[in-house]
Amino acid sequence: MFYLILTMLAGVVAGLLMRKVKSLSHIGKAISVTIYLMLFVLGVKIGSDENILANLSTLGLQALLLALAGAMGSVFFAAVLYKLLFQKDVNR
Amino acid sequence: MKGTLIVVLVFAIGCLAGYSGLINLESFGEIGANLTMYVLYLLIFLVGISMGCNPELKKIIKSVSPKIFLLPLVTILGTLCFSALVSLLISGWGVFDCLAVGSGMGYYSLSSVLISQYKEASLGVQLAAELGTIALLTNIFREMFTLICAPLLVRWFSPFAPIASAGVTAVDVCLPVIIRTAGDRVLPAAVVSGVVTDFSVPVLVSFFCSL
Repeated sequence: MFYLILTMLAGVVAGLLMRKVKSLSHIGKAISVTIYLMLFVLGVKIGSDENILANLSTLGLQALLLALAGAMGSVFFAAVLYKLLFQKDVNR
Repeated sequence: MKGTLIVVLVFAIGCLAGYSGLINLESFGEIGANLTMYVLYLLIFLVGISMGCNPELKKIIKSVSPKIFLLPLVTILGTLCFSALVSLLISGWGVFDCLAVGSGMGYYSLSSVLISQYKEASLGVQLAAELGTIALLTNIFREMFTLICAPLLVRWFSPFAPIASAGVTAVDVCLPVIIRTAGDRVLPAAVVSGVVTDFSVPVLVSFFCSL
């Protein structure tokens, strides 16, 4: 994770240096395309992982329940936090 | 909605390609095995560039306040509360087992290994491996859920929603999606939240495994 953050900082510096380059305004599209590429590769990885596939039918439902609970629990709590402490900063 | 559809489609096609053996990452050797990581680094670098050439960068950095550290805190609390609640619906596992799985916070590789190891003494090898697999699947699903539902989460809840839902992966795999859906200004929140929850995983998982 340390190297990942370092990579991002390197990107920020590169971005700062290339501020004047016009074609960089399309970087959002490049990010979207790379996101699709990453999802595809993740899919390939999971699709070919026998350990995951073999257990999907028996343990998958329990895992799905826990995943949804964990994700949505944090989403609800974060929504309350945002409403209470952060929303006014944005509207200011 | 169109974005979500494309995401699901691309991921599903990837799964099929992997399952059918049409694409075999291992046949590319070292590069294939680490391909996701390379793509991830490329993505994060691109996100960095887009932040760097954002004219609002100064404003974004100025807007960071210590209260941003509350976000990982409520993320963890929300996850634990709801994991405990849903444990009532799950037969065969106790509330602390479910809490240990939930504490993975999306970090599937670490949480599954930790759980299968720590639980071996109390549950036996077979059951510990099973709970480890549940942790693996749960946290993969959580990451997938965030990647796919991020636009909806932003629209229905708050700009923080995909960050909370991502857990640890807010600072890596899910970061680009978060930036694309919630906007550049949530970058500091995503990084802080991802890093703090990352540190919480080994602590909380081992804690709940010991109960």
